[in-house]
Amino acid sequence: MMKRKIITEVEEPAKKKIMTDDTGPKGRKKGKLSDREFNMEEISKLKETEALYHSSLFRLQVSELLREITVKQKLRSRLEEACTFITETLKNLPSGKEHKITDKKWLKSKGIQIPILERPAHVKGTFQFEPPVDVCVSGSFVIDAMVMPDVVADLILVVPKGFFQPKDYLNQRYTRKRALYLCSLASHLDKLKRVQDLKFKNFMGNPHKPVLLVKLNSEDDKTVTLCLQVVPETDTFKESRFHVSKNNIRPGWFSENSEENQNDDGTEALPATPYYNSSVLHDLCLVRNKQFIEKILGGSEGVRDGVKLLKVWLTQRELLKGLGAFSSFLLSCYVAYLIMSKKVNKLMNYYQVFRTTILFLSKSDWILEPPSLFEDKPQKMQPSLDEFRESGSCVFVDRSGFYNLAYMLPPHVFSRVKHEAELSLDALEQHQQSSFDALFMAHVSFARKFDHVFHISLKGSQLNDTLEKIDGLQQKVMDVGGHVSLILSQHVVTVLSEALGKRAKLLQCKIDKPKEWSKCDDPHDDKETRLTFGICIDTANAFNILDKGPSAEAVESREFRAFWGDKSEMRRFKDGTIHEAVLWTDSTCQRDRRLVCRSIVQHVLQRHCSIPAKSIQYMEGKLDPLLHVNLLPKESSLLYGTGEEQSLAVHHAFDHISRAVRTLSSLPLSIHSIQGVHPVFRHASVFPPLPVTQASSDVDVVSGHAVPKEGKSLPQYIPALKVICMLEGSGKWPEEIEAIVCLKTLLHIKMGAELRERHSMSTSVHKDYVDVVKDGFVFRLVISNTRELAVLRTVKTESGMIKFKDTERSSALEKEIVDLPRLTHLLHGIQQENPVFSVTVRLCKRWIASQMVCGLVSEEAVELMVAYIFTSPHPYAVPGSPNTGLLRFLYLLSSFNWKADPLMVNLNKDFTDEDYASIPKEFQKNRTSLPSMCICTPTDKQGTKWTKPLPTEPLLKRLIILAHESMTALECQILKSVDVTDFKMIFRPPLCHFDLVIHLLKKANVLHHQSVDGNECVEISESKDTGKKFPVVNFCVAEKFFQDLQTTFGDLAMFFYDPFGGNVIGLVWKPQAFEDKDFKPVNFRFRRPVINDTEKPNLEIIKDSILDDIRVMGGGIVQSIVSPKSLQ
Amino acid sequence: HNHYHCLYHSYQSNSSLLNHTVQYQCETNLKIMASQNKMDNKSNLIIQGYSVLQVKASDKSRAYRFLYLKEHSSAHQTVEWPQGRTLEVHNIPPFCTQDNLRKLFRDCGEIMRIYLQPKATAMPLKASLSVSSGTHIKNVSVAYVVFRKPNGVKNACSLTYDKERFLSDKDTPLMSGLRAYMHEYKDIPDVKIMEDQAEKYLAEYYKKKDEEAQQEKDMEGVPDEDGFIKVTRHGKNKGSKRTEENERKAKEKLRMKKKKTELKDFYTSQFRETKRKHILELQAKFEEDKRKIKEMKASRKFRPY
Repeated sequence: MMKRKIITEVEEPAKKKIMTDDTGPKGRKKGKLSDREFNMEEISKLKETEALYHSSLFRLQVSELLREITVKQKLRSRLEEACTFITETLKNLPSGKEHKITDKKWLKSKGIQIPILERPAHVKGTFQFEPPVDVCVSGSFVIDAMVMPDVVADLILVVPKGFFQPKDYLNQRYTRKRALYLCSLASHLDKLKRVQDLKFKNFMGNPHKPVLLVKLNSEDDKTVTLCLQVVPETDTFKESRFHVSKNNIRPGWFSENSEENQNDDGTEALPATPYYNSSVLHDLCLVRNKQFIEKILGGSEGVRDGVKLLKVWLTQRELLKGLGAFSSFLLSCYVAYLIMSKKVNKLMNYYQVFRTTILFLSKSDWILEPPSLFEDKPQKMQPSLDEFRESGSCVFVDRSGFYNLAYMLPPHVFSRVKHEAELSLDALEQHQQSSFDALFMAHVSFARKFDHVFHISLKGSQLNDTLEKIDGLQQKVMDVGGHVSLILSQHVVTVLSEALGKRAKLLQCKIDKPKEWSKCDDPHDDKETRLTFGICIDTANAFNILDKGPSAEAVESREFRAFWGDKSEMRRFKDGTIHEAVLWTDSTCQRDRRLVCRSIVQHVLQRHCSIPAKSIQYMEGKLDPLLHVNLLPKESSLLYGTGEEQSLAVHHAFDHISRAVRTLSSLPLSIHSIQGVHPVFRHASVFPPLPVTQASSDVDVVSGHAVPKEGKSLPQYIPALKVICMLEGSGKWPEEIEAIVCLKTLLHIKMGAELRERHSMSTSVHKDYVDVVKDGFVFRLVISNTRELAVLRTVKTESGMIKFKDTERSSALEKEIVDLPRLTHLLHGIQQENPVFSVTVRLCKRWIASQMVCGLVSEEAVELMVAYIFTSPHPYAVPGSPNTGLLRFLYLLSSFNWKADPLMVNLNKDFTDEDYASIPKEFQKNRTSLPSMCICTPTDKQGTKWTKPLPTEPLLKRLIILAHESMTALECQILKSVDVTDFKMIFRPPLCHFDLVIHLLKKANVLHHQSVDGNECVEISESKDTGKKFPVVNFCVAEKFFQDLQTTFGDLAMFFYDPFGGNVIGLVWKPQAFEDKDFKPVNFRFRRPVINDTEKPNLEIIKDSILDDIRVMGGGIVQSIVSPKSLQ
Repeated sequence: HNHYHCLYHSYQSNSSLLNHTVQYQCETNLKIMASQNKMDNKSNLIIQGYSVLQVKASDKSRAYRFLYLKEHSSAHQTVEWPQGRTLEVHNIPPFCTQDNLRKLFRDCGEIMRIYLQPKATAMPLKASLSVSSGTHIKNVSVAYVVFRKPNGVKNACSLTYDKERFLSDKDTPLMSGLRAYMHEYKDIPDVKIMEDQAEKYLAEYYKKKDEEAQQEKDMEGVPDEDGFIKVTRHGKNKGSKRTEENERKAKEKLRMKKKKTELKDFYTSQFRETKRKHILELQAKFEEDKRKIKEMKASRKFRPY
């Protein structure tokens, strides 16, 4: 072979030349070329990825993310230029005149409002502006760890020592002079042409510490923002003066009783002011800490990028900015600490830095074992850890050993950070494609994160009541200078976490976004204090209706009584012991049990903080009315909360039926399994059926069956609950489908006869099923066998080979007898683990239905999506309330990339690692032939079972828009709720998108009580005796009419309807239906002949006759047909 | 999106919408067309062999429907639809019943049978046993009307176009809407009849099966004309069923056998080839990831907020 090749080459050199020009061999050569590249560099990179990163895809994703958030060189140089400009300007500012601190006239003349709250107003001392001795650029800009999009360079202005007077540490004088300094800076900068805008902002949300935001025009007409901070020179004050347990705000001064206290140094007897002290210390030690951090973090690419990732991670969790947040300064300090303690080293890559940091965050405890940057020998005056702890915040000692870096970080926020770190580590463990999204891309909003959200809004006078009620709070108010919400939130969290105990996994007060205000505005309006809290509940304990206290004789019982007040009662328990206990509700209804936490919060806040219930807006339970049905008579023993009890009642009746069916003796084969397939059997029926009541006057009787009577009101809707009875296999099953159907008919007849005679149940036998009444519910028993499926699938080819091919009928049967029972079983399992699954899935289905797209997305697809939220909850924990469940469902629906990924629902955790690799791969390969959304389960790896043929691409798009809008609307309602908020809003879709709207008559709409705004009562009877006649089953004319419309006019228009009591049907014409067609018999439907220009007859659609048809078909059902567009 | 938000509206009662019902317009300018059709000097309209008829559902209707009539002709002669006496009616309204059609054509001649179907066929659609009895053939669009005499068809085809005709009157009301649904529900199956039908069918089926089995048994081992003996699932040397699955397995077996005999990585070129393949595979995976990233990038999947 070689020989031949050489020969040809020798013989025909010209041909070789042509060959190289040819595209074929060239292409191969290219391939080889890249092979070589791949060998040398890529393989080593791949190996590295495997060892050091999560996965190759993860690595690529993160590097894309980093590229997106890294500050571009252009912007950087723009910022640098602006920094030098400002530095120069500031250093050359002239000194100012001397004013008293309280003198504000000169400020007013310049139109500047002092950016802090001055309470009390009077204070001694004078103020005289001095230019800064030094201006330096701060941390994240120096180490290049800034994150897009809002990039701000921090400038630290070091004020000369002479600016401060010796006693300026006292009584907020420091704070006020600092603020005045910023004001005079603002007045100077205002004169500059390049300055566009001047704003104030609280540094880290701390109201004592405003900073000045300067918006500058840069040379190329873009604006950059600089943030000016003011700090004193390091040796201005002694650090020990601000020891955490010292007092620097005199109570006498604060309460305005006397002029500034005389005996200044009698600090020991006075209450400590740790907050104020730390806030001054922060400035005092800032330069020192900053230099240290820059030294430690600088120069390492991995650390730098790791810090950036951590910032993104915190931002997505709304934890990086605002008062009490885990600020980026704190974050840098912690990473520096980890480097110091050799947990992180500078050679690590960003993934390792990120992972190690959250790993140590998840394990650390900043109160018991606080981290520290302090390395030297302890000084004499230095506070001990215990002294730090006393301040009530988290502890993280700085370089100097005096300052607590975490003085603003409340323990509840730290536990949130810790909790998020744990969840994220867990997400990283799951080898899934989604871990990147869960960590960095998904926005964990407060409303989606916390199961229960509530607001406390207090007006002026109420706030004072509250403050007086709580011991020791006055003192703290002094410390924080009148910013009450700061301490109130912490107090509320402490009280509630004691009250809720095991019920709550996490409790946090929402961190408000830091606000910026213009230099001439006053940011402090304290008309209303508003705090938002979130609780992540533990579903295993949160729904207990009883809190069992200590034994009545025990000493602790007094404590227990003191805490709970008169709610606490002595109770005798089953084991004979007597305990103190609190009973929250005596209802057995699941809806009421979900609201136990609300009662606790209301009671405890009233008792311990004098916050009245009307000031508390509790969001849990606000959506419950959508699943509620009013019953008549009201005093009946049936409770209808949100329907869980009715589901259970059906299950109970089903158990009876299934026992009866198993003992049937008249069937020739034994029953293999009995499985309900109606959604109610998987707790997913939006409105579980109610027991039958039918007034006998309203129905006729035909051969033992009640039938609707003309001229009377329509009977109550009773759904037939389908149950599949699988018979065991036998060689005797026929091999022809018609014969199987006949055999099944005979079996149904026998089954019905025996159930009627031996079990005296009311039955109705049909060809394909037997209906049985038990406890007022109608069960539809269907006999089946796998042979039927095989027969339907079998196709004999011409050559005599037997092929199995899925037909429409066989897949329908397979769904019913194989897939649905399996799904029912698995979802039932999820419900057993999570008591809120049922209410969540039903709420989601209610939402889908109310958007009138119910038939367009299959029920099962919705159920699986909700199951996904429970099985793969990342980045959250498993939802604990229907509200969060619905929000996360809407988020999933609207944000999931349906086009590029399959949704993998790990039911029963049956997916293997291999599946996680192969399923997306297969999906990519066949994307074009797959439906618009693919929902894979361990038994349906293609993911097409429930999403074919609907929803189509345009429908999915509409659904995504609807979901997104509903989510933002609902989240906004939950977070900013006022008393009158209408939570049903997102359940009322706009009608104006339809071409026509068909209004239904109320009397034909038997499910009107289920509609979003329907509040009719449903009559139920106590006696379960239905008499001799078999009730009217599955008779819902509105639904039938809707289906008929779809089958008849499906080619011409799309129809939209809410099956739960919807009183309108929306219609959208399909544009292609309105084209003229050739004169052919297939095109005759709904068309009339017209002659066009070429004298050829064509067919034209007649809309009027279609509308007329709809009116005739809807005789007695349709009220009117209107065009929503004509209303506009 | 912003626009959309304001579209959520609070509940509006129906009554306010009542006044705005759509104005139906019924313009029938087909008369002009009828005169354009030069072949025709009577007032009936025939286009490509189809007589066109205007019909209203009832005197309350505001719109006409157009029926297309033609004598049924087919290559397959059927007993049910005799040649010359069967009228094909296209585009009948979805709620149309036999009674309505009887009323429409009662003046044309005596009607024997009427078949209503969802589509045009050469012979009547059989009512299948396995299709649930409860569901009627809804969504009808074509009717076959069998007259006693051939001139019934002719009369029907020459019905005048411009006369106003109705599908219903007092005696034959429209069977639709709520009334139809109620009527449908009243149709409760008789268990006895069901049982008899099913038993009869099964008896026939088993009889047929037995006969086939007997025949197969008789033929067992008997060579046919060409001298071949058919392998059956009974008897001594049972053949396995000829299914797709079995065939696939057999093929797989053959392939494996071939593979075993083949020498792997024997020549250097072969070895190089496998190595190259492996590397290509790795590369493909990497490229795949990169492609995915690119796609995500295009849809701005990396901007965190």
